[in-house]
Amino acid sequence: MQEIPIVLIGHKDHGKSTLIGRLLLDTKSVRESRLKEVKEVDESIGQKFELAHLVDSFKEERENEMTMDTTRAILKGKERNYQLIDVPGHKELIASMLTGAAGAEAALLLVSIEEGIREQTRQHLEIAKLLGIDQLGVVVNKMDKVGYQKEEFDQITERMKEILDKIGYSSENIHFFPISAWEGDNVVERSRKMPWYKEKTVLEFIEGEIKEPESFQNLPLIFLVQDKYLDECKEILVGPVESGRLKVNQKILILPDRREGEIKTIRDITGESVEAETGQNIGIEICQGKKMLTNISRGNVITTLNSNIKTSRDISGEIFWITAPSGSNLVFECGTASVEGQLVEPKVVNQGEKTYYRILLRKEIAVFPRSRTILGKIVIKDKGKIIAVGSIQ
Amino acid sequence: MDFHLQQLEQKSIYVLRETKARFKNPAMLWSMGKDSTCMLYLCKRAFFGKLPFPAIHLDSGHDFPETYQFRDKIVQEWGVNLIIGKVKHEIDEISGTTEGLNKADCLKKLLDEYKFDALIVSIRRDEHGIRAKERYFSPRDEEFKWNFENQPPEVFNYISEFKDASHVRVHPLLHWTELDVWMYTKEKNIPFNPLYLAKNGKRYRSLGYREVTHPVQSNADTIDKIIEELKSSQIGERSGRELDKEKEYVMQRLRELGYM
Repeated sequence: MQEIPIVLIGHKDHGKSTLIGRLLLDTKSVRESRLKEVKEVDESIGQKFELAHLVDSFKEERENEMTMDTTRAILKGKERNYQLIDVPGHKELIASMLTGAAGAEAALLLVSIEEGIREQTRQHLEIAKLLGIDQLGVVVNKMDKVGYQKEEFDQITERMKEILDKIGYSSENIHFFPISAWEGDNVVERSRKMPWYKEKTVLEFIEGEIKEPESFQNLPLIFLVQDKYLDECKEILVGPVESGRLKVNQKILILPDRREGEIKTIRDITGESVEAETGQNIGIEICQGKKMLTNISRGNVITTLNSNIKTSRDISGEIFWITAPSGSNLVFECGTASVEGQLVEPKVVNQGEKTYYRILLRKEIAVFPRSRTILGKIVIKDKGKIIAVGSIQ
Repeated sequence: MDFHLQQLEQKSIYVLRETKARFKNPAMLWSMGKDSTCMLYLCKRAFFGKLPFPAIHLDSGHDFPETYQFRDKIVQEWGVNLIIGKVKHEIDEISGTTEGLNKADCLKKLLDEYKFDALIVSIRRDEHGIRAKERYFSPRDEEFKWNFENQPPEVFNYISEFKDASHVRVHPLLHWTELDVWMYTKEKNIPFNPLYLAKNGKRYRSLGYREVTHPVQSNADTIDKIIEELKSSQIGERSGRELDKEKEYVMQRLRELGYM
C-alpha cells in the first residue's frame, strides 16, 4: 500500500489547517486520545478548540491562529492512505511552504469565498506548477459565510479558471469544490445545504481521482553517486537509483566526463545482487576491462551508453526565489552534484518571485531537462543556505 | 516485503547514507526501544553489515532490568560501539519527571567530549504533534536550541549546509508510524525488548525510565497481536509515559531546550 502525499496550499486564513482537521476527524484518522488531548490543552490555556489545532501544535500557532511550520498527518482511506501536508499561508514563511510542497503528488488549493483570490493563492499555485505538481483540485471554502449560494461560487470559479490557465494548468480538467471545512459540508459528508452541487466531495476526489506517483522505471538509468565506501580494499559507490534499472556486466557511462565502464558488482541492502531498479539504494563497483575504476565520486551520475541524459554548464529554466542572493558567489546543486557558478539572468531578483533563469557553471554537470527526476530540478545556495528552487528546461 | 515498507526503508537508508557523506563524526541515540533498535538495524543495512558510528545510551541507571539485558545482548551480537552517558536522576521543573532535561544535559556533555557533529535520533512524526514539525536534518545552536520558526528548507533531497550549528539532529524514521515500525520489526525478525509483550493483561507501548513509565491494558502477547491491536487502538502511543503530554506544551519547551 502506497501513501500518497497531498499538499494543501493557498493564502493565509483560507482554511488549509481546518480542512486537514476536518478530513482527519470525519474519516476517523485521528485517535480519540489525540483529540481529547488537544481539547484538554486548549481548555487548560483558555482557548477554544479548533480543528486546525490537530496540526497546529505549537503554542505560538494556536495563540496566533496561524500555521508557522509545515506538518504532515496521515489520512486513512478505504484502499490507500494519504499524507496530508499542511503549509503556512503567510508570505514570510514561504521556505516552510516549499519544504512541505516539494515531493507532493497532488495539491488542494484553498480559496476563501469571503476573501477571494489573494497574493498567496497565485504564488502557491505558481510554486506547485514549478515543483511539477500536476494533479490539482480547487477548494472554495467558507461557503457557510455566503449562505451557500451557487452564484458566488460560480463567479470565483470563473476567475480562478483564468488564473489556472495563465499559470499553465488546463482549467477544464480541474475540479472545483464548494465546501465549508468548519461545518463539514462536502468534505467527507455531502452537504444538504448545497443541493445544486452534485459532483464529488473532497474525499471522493482524493480517493477516486488522485493517481499514484508515476514510476521512473522506464526512464533512462540515473544512478546518483552519493558516497564511496571502502570494504576490504574494494571501493563501493553507493547511492540511489533515481530512474531506470541496471544489471551486472552492463556497459555504462560516467557523467559528466563521459568515461565508459562496466558494472562489475551490485550490492543492495540485503547483499550481492545481479540487478537493481528505480527506488533502490545500492552499492556498485565499476571496471574498465580488467581494471577497477576508482576516481569516481559524489556528484557523478551513472547512465547507459546511449542514454539521453545530457551534460551541460549552461543551464536555464524557471526558478522561485525564497530570498534574493547576497552576491554573485553562488553554488548550484543538481542531484548530488554541487558546483559553483554565475547567475547570468535575471539581473535583478526580488524575494518571493518566480522568474526565468540562466546560469553558467564552472564545470559541466549531468542534467535531464524537463523530466520529473531530480536531474530536472536545481537549487541555488548562497553561503550554504538554499535560496531558490527551479526546474531545468 | 510490502511496497509501503520498502519505500519507508529506502528513504531511511538514503538519509543515513547522506548523514555519513555530509558529516565527519555522527553518532546515534539508542534507548533500546523498538524505534531506535529498528534504526540500528537500518544502519547495518545501509552500511553493508557494519555500524560505522557509536550508539549512545543516556542512562540514569533507572531503565528496566529487561532493557539492560536487551542492550547487552544486542551489543554483543551486533558489535555495537556503545557509549553510556550518565544521566542525573532528579525531577526537572519543566517536565515534572526524571527523563526530561536531565537527558538533554547529559547529551550536551557527551557532545562536548566527543565532538559529534550529527546526532541520529529515532523520532517519528506520528508520535507527537511537536515532533511532526521536524525536518530530516535539523540544526541546533550552541545552547542546543531548536529554532522552529526559522527551520531551513528541505526541498526534494536538497538540504542546506549548517555552518552555524553546534550539531545537526538527523531523523531518518520521521516518516514511519508506530504500526510501520512493528510491521517492519516482524518482517525482518528484529529483536525487541520483551516488555512490549503483554503479561497479566498489561504491556508497555513506549519505554522510558521505570518509575515514570506505566503499562497499558492489553492482551497482545505476540508481535502479531501487537500489530492487530494497533490497527484499531484509540489510545496514544505515549499514554504510559509521564513525560510528553501535550499539556502546557511541555514537549515544545523541552525540545527547544535540546530534548529529543
